[in-house]
Amino acid sequence: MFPRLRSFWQTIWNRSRFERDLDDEMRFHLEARMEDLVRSGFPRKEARRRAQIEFGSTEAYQDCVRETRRVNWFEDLAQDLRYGLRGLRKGPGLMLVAVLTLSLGVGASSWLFSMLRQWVIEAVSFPHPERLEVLWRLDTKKGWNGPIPRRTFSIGARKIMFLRIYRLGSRTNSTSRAAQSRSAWKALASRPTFSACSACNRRPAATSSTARTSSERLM
Amino acid sequence: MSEQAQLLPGTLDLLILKAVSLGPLHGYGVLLRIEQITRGALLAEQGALYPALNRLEHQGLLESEWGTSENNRRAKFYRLTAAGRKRFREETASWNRLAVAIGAALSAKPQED
Repeated sequence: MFPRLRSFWQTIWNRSRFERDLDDEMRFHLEARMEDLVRSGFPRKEARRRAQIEFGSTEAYQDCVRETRRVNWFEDLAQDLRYGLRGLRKGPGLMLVAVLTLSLGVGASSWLFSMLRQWVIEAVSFPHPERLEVLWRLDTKKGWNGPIPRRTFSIGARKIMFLRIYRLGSRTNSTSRAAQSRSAWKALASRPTFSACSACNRRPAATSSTARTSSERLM
Repeated sequence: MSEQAQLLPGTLDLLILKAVSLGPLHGYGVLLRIEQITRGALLAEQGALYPALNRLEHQGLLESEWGTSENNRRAKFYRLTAAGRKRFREETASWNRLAVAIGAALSAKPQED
């Protein structure tokens, strides 16, 4: 692998020298052959012709050598690109279909990913998400749509959506609790679809009614 | 010309390694030496030598250096590298095995019972 890389770089690095060497090498061969033929009795002109016939096409073999050194990759790339562009210009329908297919595909998958990211991967952007206790759903037509069932909550929300039960304050001071839930509510209002609210340190089953009242009060 | 054998495809690389193993040579010298050691086997076209030489150099089996030819001209001389010597030994061994096997196959006679 290493000698190949080195010879490739030497060729690329000094392309004009590579070309000159290639030319010189083949010319040396042709002249040496011609002289041998002259020595064996051919007239000079005939010897030159014969040497070239025996050698074959100098150009073709030089191309062969370039190919083994892979010096043409850049020219080949440019040629392929031009060919591709010409083809696209000839058949704009195909190009349109291709562009449409690609853009729809890219759009759909990026939409899917952003949805997934919003609902599954990313943690909820509530303050103190570890204290989240009840989750309410805000429906644009029906208004507040009741707490999300605890089962869904703990399976769906806690595990998948990384929602945590939201504990607000302590039961020691009810006014501070109301104040706290109000501030929490404000923080939650920025989130369009889900909202969390309320409640104290009671058991979650009992919490939902308290949550409703406090959220209605807040509204 | 027609009674002279043509080189088998795939044998050119091996013959180049053999020719160069006897001492550094320029391209035309490789051709002459191959003709000499094969008693006149021919390349279809002499130019075919150069892609092969370059391929072997590219693979690190040969190394080249510009020097002066017998008639005092600038010529590119090829020499076997250590890797080339190793490859030459391996190729020779595998060619010999193949030749023995083909020889045995062609000289097989129908069995009599």
